Amino acid sequence: MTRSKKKQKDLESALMTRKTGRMGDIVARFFRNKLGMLGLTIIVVLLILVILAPLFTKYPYYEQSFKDRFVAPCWEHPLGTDNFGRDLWSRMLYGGRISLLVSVCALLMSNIVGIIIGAICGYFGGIVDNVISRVLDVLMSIPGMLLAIAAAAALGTGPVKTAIAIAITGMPFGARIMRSSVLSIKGNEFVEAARATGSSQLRVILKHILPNTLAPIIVNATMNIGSNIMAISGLSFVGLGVQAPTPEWGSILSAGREFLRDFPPIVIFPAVFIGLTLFGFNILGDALRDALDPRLKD
Amino acid sequence: MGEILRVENLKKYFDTPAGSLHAVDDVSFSINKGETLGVVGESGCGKSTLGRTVLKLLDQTDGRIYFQGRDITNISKRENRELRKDMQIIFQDPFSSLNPRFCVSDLIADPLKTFTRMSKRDLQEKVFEMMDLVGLSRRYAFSYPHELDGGRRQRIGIARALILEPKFIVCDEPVSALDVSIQAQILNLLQDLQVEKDLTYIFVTHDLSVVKHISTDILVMYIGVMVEKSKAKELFEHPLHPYTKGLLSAIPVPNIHHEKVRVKLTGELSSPINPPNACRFVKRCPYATEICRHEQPQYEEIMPNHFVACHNCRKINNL
Amino acid sequence: MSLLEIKNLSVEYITRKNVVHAVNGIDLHVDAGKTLGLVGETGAGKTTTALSILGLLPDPPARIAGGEIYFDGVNLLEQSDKEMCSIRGNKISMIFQDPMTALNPVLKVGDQIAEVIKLHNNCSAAEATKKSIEMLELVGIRPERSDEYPHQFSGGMKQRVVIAMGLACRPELLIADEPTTALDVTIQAQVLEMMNDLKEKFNTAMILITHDLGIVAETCDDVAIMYAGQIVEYGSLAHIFDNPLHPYTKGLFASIPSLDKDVDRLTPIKGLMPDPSNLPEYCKFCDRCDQACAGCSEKEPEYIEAEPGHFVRCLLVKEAM
Repeated sequence: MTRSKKKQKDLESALMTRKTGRMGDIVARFFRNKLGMLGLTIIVVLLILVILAPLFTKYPYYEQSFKDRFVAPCWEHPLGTDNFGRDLWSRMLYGGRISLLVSVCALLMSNIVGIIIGAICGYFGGIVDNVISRVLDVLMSIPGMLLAIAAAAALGTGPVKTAIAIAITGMPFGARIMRSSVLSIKGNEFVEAARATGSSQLRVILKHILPNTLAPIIVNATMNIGSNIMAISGLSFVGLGVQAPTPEWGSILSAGREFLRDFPPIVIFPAVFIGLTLFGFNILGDALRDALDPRLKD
Repeated sequence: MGEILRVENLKKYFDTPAGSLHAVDDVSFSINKGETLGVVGESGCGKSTLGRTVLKLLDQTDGRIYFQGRDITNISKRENRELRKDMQIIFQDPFSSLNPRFCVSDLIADPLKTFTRMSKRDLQEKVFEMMDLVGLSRRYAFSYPHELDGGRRQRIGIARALILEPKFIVCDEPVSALDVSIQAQILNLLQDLQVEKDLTYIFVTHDLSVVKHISTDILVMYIGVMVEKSKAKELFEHPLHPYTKGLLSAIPVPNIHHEKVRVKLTGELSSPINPPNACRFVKRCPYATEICRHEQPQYEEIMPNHFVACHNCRKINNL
Repeated sequence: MSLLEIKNLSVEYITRKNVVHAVNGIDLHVDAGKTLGLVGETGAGKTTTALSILGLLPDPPARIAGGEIYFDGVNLLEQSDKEMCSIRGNKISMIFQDPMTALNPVLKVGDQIAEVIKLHNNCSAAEATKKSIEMLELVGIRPERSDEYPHQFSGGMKQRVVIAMGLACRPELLIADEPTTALDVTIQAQVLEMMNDLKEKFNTAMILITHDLGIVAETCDDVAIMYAGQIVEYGSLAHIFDNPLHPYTKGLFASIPSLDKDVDRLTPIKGLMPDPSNLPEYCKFCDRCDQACAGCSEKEPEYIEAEPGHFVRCLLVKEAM
């Protein structure tokens, strides 16, 4: 074989090993992570149950029946009924629609905005950073619930608006974490190397800095799911979240508190659903973080 | 061969809370095409800053830089970007200078992606060509930097700097993080590439034996100023500045029969922040006189092509 | 009898995936008042050897797989943690590579030295302070600086403080792990000179771990060259520098750019050190050796005494004898 032919063959075989590309590597690494797959399964099952709720329950979530109050879990009512005789299973399924949608939306909004603001602060520094950081400080100094209530009062009710109100309280924390990781990554020589090879600032931020800052952001984000679900119920409690009779996990949980002693299922089941969601997102987030980092291969 | 780079009275000051830090203070030199200028000095003497300012990665405070006869002192952002094709840098730390999330192939191709729209196939072909050039086996193309050792990583850094086919490269301590046996491999590679691609280097280092080996000319820096410059051989045979003498005699020589006359330097580097109008070396100089404390010495050609900044140079060396 | 004698020491790091053989059966001895240079590249097992002498190996993952370390006739590997504590910092002390992180930033340097003295000597705080100031003067730091904090010192000065701390209890053995690598040459020269003086003054034995043969030439009496967890060559300074026998030692010398001679091209050692979790059964250096013959890739070469006091682990040397 001549030299050029051999090189050609090397190239072919190297390209063969690489047909999947970087995205492919990430996906492959993700699917190798068993815990991550468990997380994904939990989330997918929850989503299917919630979205296709009418298929899994025969009772509407608002149907009251006073003779069937506080029915213990049985064949007819898998999770029992609440103080108005409403089927808890169906309230869980329909309630998940609001809880999951609003908390995940709030999460995405707060982190996307947080990442952008944090990246700008960290990368450019100086006066820009100073001004934005002080504004964030002010936001962080207001108790989260109070801020959410104020925002919700200004925006009005409805799932999207509630999500925005909650996102506002979470955003400064995401931005802070992002800012500090950008600051530490920015000091690496590979960032300078990218500038030295003529990369534009946007390219440096998007391709070199951002992917290296994701780990703490993802951890922070997945931890937020739980507090977001509870924040919705807080807002509903003061009449600024979702309106009754629309169910939602946090509200079911807090409304059931007074019956905790006599009829525990009314509290246990929403807590289990919230816990499962939190757990699912948490391990999914960890798996995602590991999959995105080639250093943690295998 | 003609001059490729000329620097005149280059100054780079940084504003710090404590005052103005004179990282590079009034440095002038020129380099001919295909040659290597070694810049030596201790940490904090401004040698790395000098390299980056010459490359226009940092803006100078004052002075002029001419590259291939063209004044690049005040160029636009766009022109600066174009300049990257001709001027590149190789970094010291083979660990932090490579993005850990990029595979070898993407790392080497990165500069090309910012400048050209090549097909994936052409790009890969070019990357393989570069890997062959720097002696990196093609089977590492899709490995990640953490899977490779320091020597191989440094080869990636070299391939990345060379892929745009620059004419001029600043090597910022490229071998100081490597073991001696690997260091020799990389030094040989840099020398081979210089001949093959007709490259011009500024070689920044604190290691005098390395700089002697690779350089045509050597520039010695001390707290931002140039203290001595001459041909490499001449500098090692006839060092004229007391600091250079001290520096040379401080190198531990791996030879037990080596007789050396040690010029002992006491004390440590003074601060580069708001330096007084005096010789910067005065506090450590065994030959310091009154004038050294009040006046910064002029940089003059004491012998042909041998420049020194010292008030008492002629007296010390009996010239 | 030697002050320190290491016999057939092996250390492994056990990870989930594999076993890293960091040190593989080394024999070493250091005589009282002498300096041994331990030379080798990154990953050769130099620091692991030093840490196992002090009983400071992180366990797990590290595990001593075999061997004995005798200090003053006592096997250190059989000592309890408590007994080791009274030896560490007192009879044997260690200086680490990075002076920037070796000192506690919130304590005054004088107090840090006094603490070591108090710990090992039954003395009052005032005595300890007095002694700490004496130590600082010995390493060339003015007494009034003992009330300053580490960040007020430069790198070279910090390393002096670290050395003062290491020598505070007049140890019989000082282990210095690349003590001047983080320093500039002119500062390095000052620190080395000071270490040499103090060593002679206190008659302290020293193990100097370094990768710089130049430093070895200036400070050591004996030299051990380590490669892949083994000692490949051991001898006096004259043996190693004037008559290196092992191809790896020769390769190291050829890799260093010379200041005396003009060499156009360096002759580096080809290839890389073998993966310590997957070491060959035969000569560890064989795959990088220019002179390797068929026998080299068959079995491990013996560690032989080529001339009195000059040991080498190479088949070719054995055959030539």
